[in-house]
Amino acid sequence: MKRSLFGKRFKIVLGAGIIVAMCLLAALAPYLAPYDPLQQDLLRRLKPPFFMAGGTAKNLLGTDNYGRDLLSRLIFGTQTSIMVGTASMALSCILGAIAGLIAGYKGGRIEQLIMRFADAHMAFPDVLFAIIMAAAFGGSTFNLILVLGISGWMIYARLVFGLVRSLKHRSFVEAAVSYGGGDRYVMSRHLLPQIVPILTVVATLQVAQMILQEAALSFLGLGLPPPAPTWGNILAEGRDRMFGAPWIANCAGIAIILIVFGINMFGNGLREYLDPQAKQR
Amino acid sequence: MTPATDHELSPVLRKQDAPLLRVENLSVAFHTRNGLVRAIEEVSFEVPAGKVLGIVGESGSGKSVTALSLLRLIPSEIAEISSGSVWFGGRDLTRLSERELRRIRGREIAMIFQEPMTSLNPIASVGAQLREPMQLHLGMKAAEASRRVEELLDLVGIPQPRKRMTQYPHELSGGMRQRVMIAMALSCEPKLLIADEPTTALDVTTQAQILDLLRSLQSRLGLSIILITHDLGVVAQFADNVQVMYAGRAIEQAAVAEIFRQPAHPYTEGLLKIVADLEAECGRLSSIEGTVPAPHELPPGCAFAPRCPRSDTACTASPPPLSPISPGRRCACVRPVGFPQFRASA
Amino acid sequence: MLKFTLRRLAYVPVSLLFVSAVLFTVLRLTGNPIDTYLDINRTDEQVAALTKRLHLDQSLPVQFLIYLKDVLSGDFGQSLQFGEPAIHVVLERAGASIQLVTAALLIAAIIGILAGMACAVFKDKLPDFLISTLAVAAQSMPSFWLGILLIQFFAVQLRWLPTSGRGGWENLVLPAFTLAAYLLPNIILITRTSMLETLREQFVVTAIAKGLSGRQVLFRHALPNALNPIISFIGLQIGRLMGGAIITETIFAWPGIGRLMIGSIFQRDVPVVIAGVLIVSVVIVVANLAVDILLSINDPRIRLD
Repeated sequence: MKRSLFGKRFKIVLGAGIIVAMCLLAALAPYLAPYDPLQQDLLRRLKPPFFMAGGTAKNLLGTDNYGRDLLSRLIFGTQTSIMVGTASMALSCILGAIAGLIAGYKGGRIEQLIMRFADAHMAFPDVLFAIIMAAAFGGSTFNLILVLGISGWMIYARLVFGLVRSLKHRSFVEAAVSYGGGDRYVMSRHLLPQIVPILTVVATLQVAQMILQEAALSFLGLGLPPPAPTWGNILAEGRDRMFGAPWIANCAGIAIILIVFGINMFGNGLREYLDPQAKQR
Repeated sequence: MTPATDHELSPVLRKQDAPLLRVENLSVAFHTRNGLVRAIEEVSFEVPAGKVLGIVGESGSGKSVTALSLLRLIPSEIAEISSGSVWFGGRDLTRLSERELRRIRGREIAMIFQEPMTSLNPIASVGAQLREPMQLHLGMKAAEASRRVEELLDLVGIPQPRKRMTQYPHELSGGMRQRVMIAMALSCEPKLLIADEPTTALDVTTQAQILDLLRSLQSRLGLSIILITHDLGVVAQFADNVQVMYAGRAIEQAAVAEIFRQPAHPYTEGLLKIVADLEAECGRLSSIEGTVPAPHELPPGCAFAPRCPRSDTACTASPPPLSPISPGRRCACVRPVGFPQFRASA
Repeated sequence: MLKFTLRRLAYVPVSLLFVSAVLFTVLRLTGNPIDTYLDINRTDEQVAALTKRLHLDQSLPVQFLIYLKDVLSGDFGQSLQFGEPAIHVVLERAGASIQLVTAALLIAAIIGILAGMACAVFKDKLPDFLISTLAVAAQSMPSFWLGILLIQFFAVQLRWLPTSGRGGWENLVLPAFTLAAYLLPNIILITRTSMLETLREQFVVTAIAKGLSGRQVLFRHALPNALNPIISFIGLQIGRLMGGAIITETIFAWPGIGRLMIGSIFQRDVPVVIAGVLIVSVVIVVANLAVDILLSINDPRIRLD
């Protein structure tokens, strides 16, 4: 009963549904958003959402401290979240996969160097790294992607390293080497295809983590500087208004939790689909 | 058959003095995806005080399940005792509350297991693990228990007990660990010791040492022992009585001397042939064709019939009951070996 | 045991050297230190004095060695906001941060382990289903929003607890639970898996056969054996926990190192930021060492390798 209701297919479909909806929202933001997310209207400050007393259908989710329409800001915030989340995931995936492939395939001193560096980096908090970067360069979308991308590489490096090392001595790889396949040929033709499925799962789940991190950094003021409409910025503004206008923070919070939940569902469903034994966890 | 002397006569069926342990019609069923599956069926036996009962069978015969079920050590979500009783000290262990049973486990009935490597807690010191039952059951203080641990380690033949107490299981050899397990089992001076394949995981020399130790302890302490084993040779050296199990049923019960003189069940005969061949070290080993059937695919009749050289149509009707074939002897076979006068009413 | 600890301690300087090198690089990338320390109305004498004091006339490797010497003696320069040595400013706030992190760690460990054990004991029954589902769902929860929700509910609605700041224990409750939420779901799920594995071990049967009660078997024999993956996980997550502490301090206006560093970025008070980063790194390295020692105390087999 339980399994059939919350099985892998259910997870994949529900997760994919949320992800597709969010992506559409981001792509069509200029057409869907009722207002310009930066347009201020000081006469209509801190209006509550329509379902609360004093709310109107004019601003469905209410307005913030500057009279900006919250719904429009949230819709545009989807763009930043998805873009930063995907781009930084891609960056750390590429960095980490290359490092892990090299370390696992070459072994020896290179392996020691790369893997010990990964261990050291693992212990170092992303937020601290972001603080250093923000102190050095200030906040921008590019810096955000760079910071998040660099701070996530070692997860992939460890994963790919472990897989490569266990696959290296399997017969088909040794056969390819004995036929005179070059290093790069063997790595890309024989090792990579083995790794791609599990890498896809980890990368999917990583996007959710990256979105959370992006929101956290924005919340701390280390992301895109205000008034950029990011969920973290909205949440930070909402924090200062949480007594008079709790809806600001809560709307942003629900938006974050929705996309993260969707991606986690999709990723876990995918993992169970690819590896039925993983359901035990 | 000549009238047996008191010593030779198997007390299995002797009713006059109450045995230490009496198992009556014990059946245990496992929960599986396909519902309940019987692991042991209607097993009955007795252990008189101061005697050793050997339970012999291949893996899958239900001998370990029998041993574990006596103290209800199989979690209830895995298996349940579906019927029968285990009488010990005037009480039925199958009906005791968990709390009452805890006072018997480790104190009156102790157990040692097959795998000395995994039976000890790997991260607790030998001394702490040995003290635990005494502190629990006898209310000893740590210092008093430690003194007793030293005596116990000495008793089971571990040199330098004081040093060993501070060590951890991974620092001991397999034989040493099994000695520790025995010391732990004996710490509260139990009346009955259940030894579930105590030597199977050990190498041959260590096996002999552990068996010698168990035998000398048994005679010195007047211990009753249930010895679970797949090795009839071990039974021959050690046990007073023997029960042979096959596919969850007891198929033969007898005094050890009797069964080696003349096995009654064809299966027992087959087992004995293997032992004899091993001892004669002849080139070719005889073996019993086929394997023990799984509990969910038992044939309707005698479970051994498909492998039995003597089977005929009478064997496939229904499982033959365990019936007396001579004084002190019972066998579950329609056509027992060496007892042509006997025909079970199947 | 002592040898083990000493060998582990040898890693500490290596890790700190590495962090220092990163910090130095970033410090130089931040731009000309003269612009950082002196404002627009600087005089040539000031520039000359500072150049000499910061050894900017030396080559980069020499500068690094001098910087390293300063860092090792705890000299990060003067804080621009407070006019005190940066390290003093940071260390003053350290107590508050350590209090918060310790409280969160205790909450996460105790509740997480107990809940995970409940899941393992009642596997596939209602408590397991409820707790596991909740834990998986909680992994999607951004902790900064959780903090705000807790304030809305317990401080604004119920008025049970103060909204922010530091004071008595009642100020600590909400921040500590918010920070604990970083580790709690994972600790529950790891404990559940580890406990289920341990409960299948033969020595658990031995313990039951000794006559121990279910609770004694669980807490004396099973739990210590299930603890290793949990301790290792906490060790790996200490960095994340410190990052979470920075966010939590910001939400609750908790006067710790994290909030100080965030504030200092906006004041361009680079010496304080750098000193803060190094102190947090020291805490992470020391905490990892403590975790390693804890592991070896819990499991005697670890001492061997």
